Amino acid sequence: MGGFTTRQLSREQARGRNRRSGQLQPGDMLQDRYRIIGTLGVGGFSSVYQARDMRFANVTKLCAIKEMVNLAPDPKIREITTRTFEREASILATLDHPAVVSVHDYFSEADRSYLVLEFIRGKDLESILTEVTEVFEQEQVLDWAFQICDVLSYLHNHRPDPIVFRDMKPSNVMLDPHGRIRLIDFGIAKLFQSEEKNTTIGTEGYAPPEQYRGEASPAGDVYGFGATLHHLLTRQDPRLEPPFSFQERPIHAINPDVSPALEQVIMRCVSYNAAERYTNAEQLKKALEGVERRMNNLSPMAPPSAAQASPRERLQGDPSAEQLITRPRESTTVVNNIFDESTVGPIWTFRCEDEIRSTPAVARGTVFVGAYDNNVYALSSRDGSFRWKFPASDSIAASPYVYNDAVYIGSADSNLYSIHMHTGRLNWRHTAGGPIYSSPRAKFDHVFFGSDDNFLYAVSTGSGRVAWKTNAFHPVRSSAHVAEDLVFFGTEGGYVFCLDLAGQVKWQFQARRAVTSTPTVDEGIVLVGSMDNTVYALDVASGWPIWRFRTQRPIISSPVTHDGTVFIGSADGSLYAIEISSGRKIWSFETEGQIASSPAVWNGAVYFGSTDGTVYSAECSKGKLRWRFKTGGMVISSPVIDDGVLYIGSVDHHLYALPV
Amino acid sequence: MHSPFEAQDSPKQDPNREPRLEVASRSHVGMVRERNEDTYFTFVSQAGGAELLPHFGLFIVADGMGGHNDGHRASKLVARTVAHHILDRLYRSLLREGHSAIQQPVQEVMEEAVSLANQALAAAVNDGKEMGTTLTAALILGSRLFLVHVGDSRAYLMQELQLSLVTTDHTIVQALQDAGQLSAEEAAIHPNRNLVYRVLMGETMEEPVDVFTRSLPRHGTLMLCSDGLTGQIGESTIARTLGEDLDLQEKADRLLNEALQTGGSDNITVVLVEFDL
Repeated sequence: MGGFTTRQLSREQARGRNRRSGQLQPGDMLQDRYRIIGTLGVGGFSSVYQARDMRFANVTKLCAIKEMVNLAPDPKIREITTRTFEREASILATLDHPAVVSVHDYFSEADRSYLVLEFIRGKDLESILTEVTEVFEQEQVLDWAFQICDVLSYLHNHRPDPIVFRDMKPSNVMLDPHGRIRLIDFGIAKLFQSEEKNTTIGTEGYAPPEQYRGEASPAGDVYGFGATLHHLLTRQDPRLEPPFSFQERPIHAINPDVSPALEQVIMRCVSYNAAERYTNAEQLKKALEGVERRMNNLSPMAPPSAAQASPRERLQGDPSAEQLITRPRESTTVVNNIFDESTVGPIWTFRCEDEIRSTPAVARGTVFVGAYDNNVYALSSRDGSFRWKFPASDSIAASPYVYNDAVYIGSADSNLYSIHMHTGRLNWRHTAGGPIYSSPRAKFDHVFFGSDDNFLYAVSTGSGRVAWKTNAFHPVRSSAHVAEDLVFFGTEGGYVFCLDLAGQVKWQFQARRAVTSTPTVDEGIVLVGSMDNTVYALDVASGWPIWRFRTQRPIISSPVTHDGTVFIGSADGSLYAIEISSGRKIWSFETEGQIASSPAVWNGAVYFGSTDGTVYSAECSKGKLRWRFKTGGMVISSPVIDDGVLYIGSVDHHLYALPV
Repeated sequence: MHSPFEAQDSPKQDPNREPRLEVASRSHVGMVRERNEDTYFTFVSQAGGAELLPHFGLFIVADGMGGHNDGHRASKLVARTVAHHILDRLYRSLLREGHSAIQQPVQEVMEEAVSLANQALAAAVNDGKEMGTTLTAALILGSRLFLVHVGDSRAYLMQELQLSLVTTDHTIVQALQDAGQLSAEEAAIHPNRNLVYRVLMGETMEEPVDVFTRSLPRHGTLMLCSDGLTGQIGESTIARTLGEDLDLQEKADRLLNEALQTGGSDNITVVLVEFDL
């Protein structure tokens, strides 16, 4: 649109002869029919009002009235402007598409022309961008993209001449209360006449370069579409960036969650040369359909955590839990035949009735581990011989914790159990309001754990009575890390909480997705991973973010620190070693699966499992492989090391004792 | 809510302790150069009584490159741009919204500041005349120190009479030392010891700048200086001076005088920050 600001507009209006001064006011009537209620927007040449159609006196029928002020001093130009307006009205009146605003009426009064439009409840995407502080989900943006593409495709296929919208930008896209897209402001849309050079241009930042040379084509709308999507996915307003700088601002650099396929499509839309773009919305739509197919096929990462994956979802056959992690081809191989790919052999193995996804605990010559067969097993750490088992009434996805003479474990049956470590007899149990996937941690004679009932509990280890519980407003599947008299944990709502020992919230930090990973603290820095792909370093006293490190995929693995380095796995398949003081990567070690397992460090080496079925040991300093051990199933369990022996479970139902 | 853990009380801070940040600084042209191309900047905000704001201190030393034209312009421009960005993003947000204001990772703000400063340099280059500068910027936020560093100006931390170098010089001799090819003694007398391989010159930076954090002890002294100080006096002299029972300003004066008396062959800048957190 033209370069008039509101202030210039009023000055021009004040100068005008026989002109209405300023904006229409509430109560003003037009054509003895439309009563102005308020102003919806003020643009360069025009204003948009909300009005009531008094022809329907008994009901409140609302409409939007677009007013165009003819400011040009040159009568010829004034005439052109009026014609532009009339053309808009005529075009709009012939259009029939659910995403195109419908025209009820048009008329002119003095030097102003009016268009009466359907009133659309809702908000335009620019207002939504301003109101929301989070990045839009790409699925959401893709849904809008399809709808916009659909209506653009309708316009580009218009006969006899294609219609070029020419002002594609977030503020011209309304979202109605049903989540449907409506294109508004066809103010500069015009019938496509390839020979004619057009005079008006679109909005800087969203308009393609050739539009500044007066050329308008469907490929220009493709550019505006790409610019709009780029803005929605990066939150970088193109009006504030150097012109035509999209290629220097790749989307993934700002929003790593965006699929490369979608980014590729958007980047092609915003190519400087029109010839390199999709030629029209039809082509673009085909490309987007390709993106959607790839996203549906290749997006195995679903919300529930793998390390503590909800057995409920698994048992109900929820595809997300199974898709979550691709099963290795070897998953059916018998345990005895799989050592070929290993460079170490086990000291002993123990078979449970179901998968072992949780992490074992070792204390005083006994290994404790929970399995999906509902049991907690106690085994001799020397030879794996069975000591006792304790049945819960639902599966156990969380890991046991040993404190004094008791083993603590949570179950999907909503109970936290305190079990006598030598006899396997129940000391007490505490029933939470929801399943417990968080692994308990005990300190100061209290056991801390979270539940899907949104609370973090502190329960007396002696009596099993609740000392306090704190509402975290989202399920807590992360375990609590208790350090420096503070309790740290994450929530499925994406928050990291810091509580004092009285359960009062000291601070909270918001990540962009669930925090299932358990925080750890080193050198006054809280380290934690999130499903938003990022490792965060937060100041222990205030929760301020110090740095963030982005991986390619969600993080469920919990960090472990050693000698100024934090180690953490990602669903992108790599284990990362990151310098704590700077947040810079020291090395990464790539596996063929995803790493949901939390690493353990012992004697200068780091140990972890991968869904490729292998347990790895790598040097802490350089990330060089020391040894690997292949199990018969995915390794989601985390290693525990005691007295030179590593204990780890596998989805192949076995617990392994390996020499470190 | 009643705390079950009161028996576990940790040592609490003395309620009468008042945290503080104190600053002293000097900058001098030296005995040889004609112009002082160093720039320093200090900003301290202290709030007491009710916990209004965390302690906030920003300290910058930039050493415009002697060999280049317009070195003084470069150090000035970089110090100002960095100070502006950090104060704008962090300090103004704190004032406006309080403790919860800091959303962007602090280290990213500092990296951005350097990147903006570098862009400002690129835009300010006259007739292709090169200008460059080192940059050492230290931010104290709460009880944590953040540092961003390019070149051979330095930051030291003195704690319980122990002086430690916090930054790593981007000099050829330091790189040779890190590679085990040169001892510290050899480096001190190496003919090319002044050769800096990384400075801000408005050119695209191939590697990310050094930005890192560490927690601060309760009490100590932070020192930022240009190589005009460390090129003249050794670390033992610095440690001895900082350990003396003097006012902070007297320490800064004394360090400057020591450097001048041993030749003052370059511009000398020193910023001292004594903290009780």
